[in-house]
Amino acid sequence: MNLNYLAKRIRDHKEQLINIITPPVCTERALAYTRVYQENEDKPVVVRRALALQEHLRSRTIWIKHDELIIGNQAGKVRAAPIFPEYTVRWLGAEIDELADRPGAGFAVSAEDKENIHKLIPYWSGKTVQDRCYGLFTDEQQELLASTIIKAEGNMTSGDAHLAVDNEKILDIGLDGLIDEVRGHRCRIDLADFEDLKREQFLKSVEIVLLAVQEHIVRYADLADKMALQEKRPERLQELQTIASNCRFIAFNKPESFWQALQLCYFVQLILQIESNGHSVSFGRMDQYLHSYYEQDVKQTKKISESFALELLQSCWLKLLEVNKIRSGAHSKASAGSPLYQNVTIGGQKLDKNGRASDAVNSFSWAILESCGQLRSTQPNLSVRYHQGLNQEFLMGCIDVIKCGFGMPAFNNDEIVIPEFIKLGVEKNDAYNYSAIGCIETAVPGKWGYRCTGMSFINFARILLASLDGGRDATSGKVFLAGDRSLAKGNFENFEQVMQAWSEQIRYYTRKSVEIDCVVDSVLEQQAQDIFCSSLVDDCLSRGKTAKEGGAKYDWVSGLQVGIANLGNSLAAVKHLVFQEAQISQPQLAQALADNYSGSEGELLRQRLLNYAPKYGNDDDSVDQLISQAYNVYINELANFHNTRFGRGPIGGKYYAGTSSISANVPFGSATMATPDGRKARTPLAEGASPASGSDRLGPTAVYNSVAKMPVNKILGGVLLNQKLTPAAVESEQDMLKLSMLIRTFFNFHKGWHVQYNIVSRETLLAARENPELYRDLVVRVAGYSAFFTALSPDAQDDIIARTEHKL
Amino acid sequence: MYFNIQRFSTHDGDGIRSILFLKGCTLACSWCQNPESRSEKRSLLFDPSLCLSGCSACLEVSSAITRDHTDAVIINRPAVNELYLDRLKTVCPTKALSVCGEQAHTDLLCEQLLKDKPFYIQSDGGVTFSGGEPLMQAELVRDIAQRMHQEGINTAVETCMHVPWKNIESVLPYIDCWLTDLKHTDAQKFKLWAKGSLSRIKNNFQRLAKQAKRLVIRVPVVPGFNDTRAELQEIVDFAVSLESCSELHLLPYHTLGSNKYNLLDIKYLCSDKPLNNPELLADAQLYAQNHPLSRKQFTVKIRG
Repeated sequence: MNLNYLAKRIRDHKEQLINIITPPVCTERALAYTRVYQENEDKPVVVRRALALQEHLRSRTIWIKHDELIIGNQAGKVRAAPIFPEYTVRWLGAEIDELADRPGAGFAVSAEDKENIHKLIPYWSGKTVQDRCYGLFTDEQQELLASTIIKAEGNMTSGDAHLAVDNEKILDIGLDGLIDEVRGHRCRIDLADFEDLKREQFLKSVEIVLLAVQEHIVRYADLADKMALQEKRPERLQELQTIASNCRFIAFNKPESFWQALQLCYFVQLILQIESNGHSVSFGRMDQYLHSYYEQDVKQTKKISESFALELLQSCWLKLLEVNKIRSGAHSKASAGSPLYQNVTIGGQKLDKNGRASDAVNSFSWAILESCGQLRSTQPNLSVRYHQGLNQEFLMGCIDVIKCGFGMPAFNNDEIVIPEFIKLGVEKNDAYNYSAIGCIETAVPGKWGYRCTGMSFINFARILLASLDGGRDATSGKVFLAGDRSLAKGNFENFEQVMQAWSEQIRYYTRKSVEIDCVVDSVLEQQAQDIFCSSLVDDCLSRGKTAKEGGAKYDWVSGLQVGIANLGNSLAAVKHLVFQEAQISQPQLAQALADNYSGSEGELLRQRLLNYAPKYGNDDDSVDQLISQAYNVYINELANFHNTRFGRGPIGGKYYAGTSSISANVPFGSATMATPDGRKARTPLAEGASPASGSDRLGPTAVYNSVAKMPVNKILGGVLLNQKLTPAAVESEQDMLKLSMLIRTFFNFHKGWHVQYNIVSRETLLAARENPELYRDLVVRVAGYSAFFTALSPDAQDDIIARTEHKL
Repeated sequence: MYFNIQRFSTHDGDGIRSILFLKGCTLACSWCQNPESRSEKRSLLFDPSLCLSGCSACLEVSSAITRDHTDAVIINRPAVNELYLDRLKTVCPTKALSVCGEQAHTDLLCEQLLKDKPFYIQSDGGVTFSGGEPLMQAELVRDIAQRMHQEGINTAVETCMHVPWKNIESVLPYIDCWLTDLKHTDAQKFKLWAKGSLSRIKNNFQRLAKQAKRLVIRVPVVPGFNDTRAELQEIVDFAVSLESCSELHLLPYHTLGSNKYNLLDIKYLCSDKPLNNPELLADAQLYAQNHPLSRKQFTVKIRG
């Protein structure tokens, strides 16, 4: 691999994209959908949606820019975010005029677009998914959502997605083949049958959409031809001609070349994200299903060179970076940096005809890895499936890319995912074919419904605070479920009663979160069918059902639990310092929490909580087991519930736990008052299943041991672990080898779910010097040895900072 | 007595290792970067930057500690007795004041060290004994190393060799890798800088070289002490003369531990600048590689 090269056209394209700080919005889709919805009020919603997509694909602006090799734009302008009014217009009306000034996730909205949006709001008000959800919610559910202890905004203000569709199938039979299949199913419809009448509406819609997609790809062919007529540069002229003929071919047929196959996969990815604004639309195991094309064109016939194949891939990755999504101000805080989480998974295992597994790494896995290492972009989100037999050279290649400092690839672990999927009821062939979806969650591409993770979020830390105060939420002052005991009254007789209070509270909130999901899912099912998406998920076509109606072969979901480490650390602090050692009285702690540890007395008490109670991430059973115990109450309660597809077709139809809470730890933290782990009010909670910032002081092996004590096999929505390393910690070949051994042990022995590494920058080191308490886990390579950065003298820190700056 | 277990150590021995730091040393090298390890008794460390004003937790349990008119904490160190140390262990909320040194219990230490066994096994790593001078507590090292061997775990020791031969001999069967210091070949200079007897060290080397499974010599290259061509060449001469010595590591002097002297309230007398003389080290490396006595497998690493 040559990671320090990037073709000029790719470099220029990337440069242009990353310099768009406040991208525009695009109202073309919103206008088309509004128009078609209004004209077709008499038709079933699913048909209306098919016609709207058809109309939009016919009329929208299309372009080919940046000398790109893979084409297809989501919006009228580069990186513009389309508006999807059928999900919500509530926040749009309130926020559209101020979007440009929003910190971190600003959009520049033209006067014309503002006017367009304001004009269409009256039609949609009361009809959107969000409005209809509120029409269904009970008062209690609404109050819970308003409190933000449970959050489901993202679920009702956009589409679902969080899945990978069956790219393998579309490559295999082409769009014509898929249409034939739909027609076959339509032939067998009996219109005298009530269920079939419903099925027919869906299948008819699929046919409308697939034909519209074909037409749309032909539009691109025409555009490329037209541009070729104007093109003066012979090389580009030839490229445009190839693009045109490729499009004309794959609009109908199954692809024959690598370029065609990649282009078709990208069109699928694109249309999915025009049909719906659900994110985490993932490619699945691209290195497996595109390998034969790559092998044929690059290795055998040498029709294209290796470096051109990399350019094709990178052109595709930049198209992913162009896809954009606009979220409300509140929601964008939980998704810092407007991410789309379009995942590509490589590596893992494959099964032969006799069901024997072997390493699936191939020449194209390497090409994908190299293309991402060269590009260093946020998209795709690259995941590597680890397994015991993973080629060591490939693992070292992954570490080479990790060294580039953009946090990728992340690793998922076959050694836990596959056996646990099989235990759940996933067929062996399917389990071996799983891929990462979005971030760290996993599902079987093309066979699994939406949101293997991504249902509602629950703030564990706030629920713990309520447990310690008679059920009173510290932030809002509201009591949702009253309890008998509180620290303030000092009437917990022992720590078991604290755990009892936690159990009662968390079981209540678990039920409420599922109730809320139930409302959202039922509205999405009736109001926002994804037609194109469902056509590429087994067994939607044969059942004549959308994925949301129970069309998918498998359908497990998970919500996100936020503040796991804070929960465990707080429980441990209460147990050790209040009950076991009686250093702090119950009312004293209650008062300090209420005062946010203010004054010197408060600070002294906070320091004691920070320094004299065990913390998760240090391989200390006394806290690690408390986390498991507390988390298990949630997990066991969750097992009592179903999702809306249960018993309607899919295998599963149930919930499991998940910790992939993106950046929600920040806004959730800012809505959480002081916690007994010494965390101050409104500061971030711990992210994912990682230790709270700065609380893990014994290095990565201790962190792995702690994480492994969680009930990982029941948290199949993902156990997220982020680790920081300095560039110098992976400097030499020997350091890299040791990192690979660390990863292998974590996965082989501890059956870890996931890990990803941040190679930290100079900025982080400076921040670590300013706020050492937040960076205790930062390991730096000093000279012949590694040390904790914050344990070094200020001068030594300066030295390291200077050196790092030198290196970067 | 021990003072730390450092997990995920990747630069003192092969693979991923845990280092058990034992307290107490027979030398007093002026460049020592672990001054808290010198005394075989517990040490009191104080970091004023972490001390909260208005807090009197330590004053309440020990009359050896006071605050002066500027509110700065003053420690009358000679008056800090064992009783005070017991009390001070858990009294400071921010751990500005901390007691370094814990009574060693073989079982508890083994339990801690075994926590990373899977990492040792996967990476061909293991446990390293360091200090201070670990072989001042040879019995403890032997017991733990023996247990590690029973678990199939590799062991290494970092030693200055300035201990009675019987201490070395008693742990010999249970140590897989000897990381040994040879700081100088001139007895007088050694005595002046490190306060010890070089002949004792050399004798130990001669005997150890015949029996060690693997012998690595590590040389701290310290400005003003041994940072000349001639001095390093003499060290190389000695190293290659030892049959079983397979590796020589040249460790350039650094000052990363100098802040610990402040925490212990003792003066730091060695240079405040790290060694910056790559040519000298490269020269010594070259000298060793071309040495007439040098064997095929003999390697010289800079920074180890």
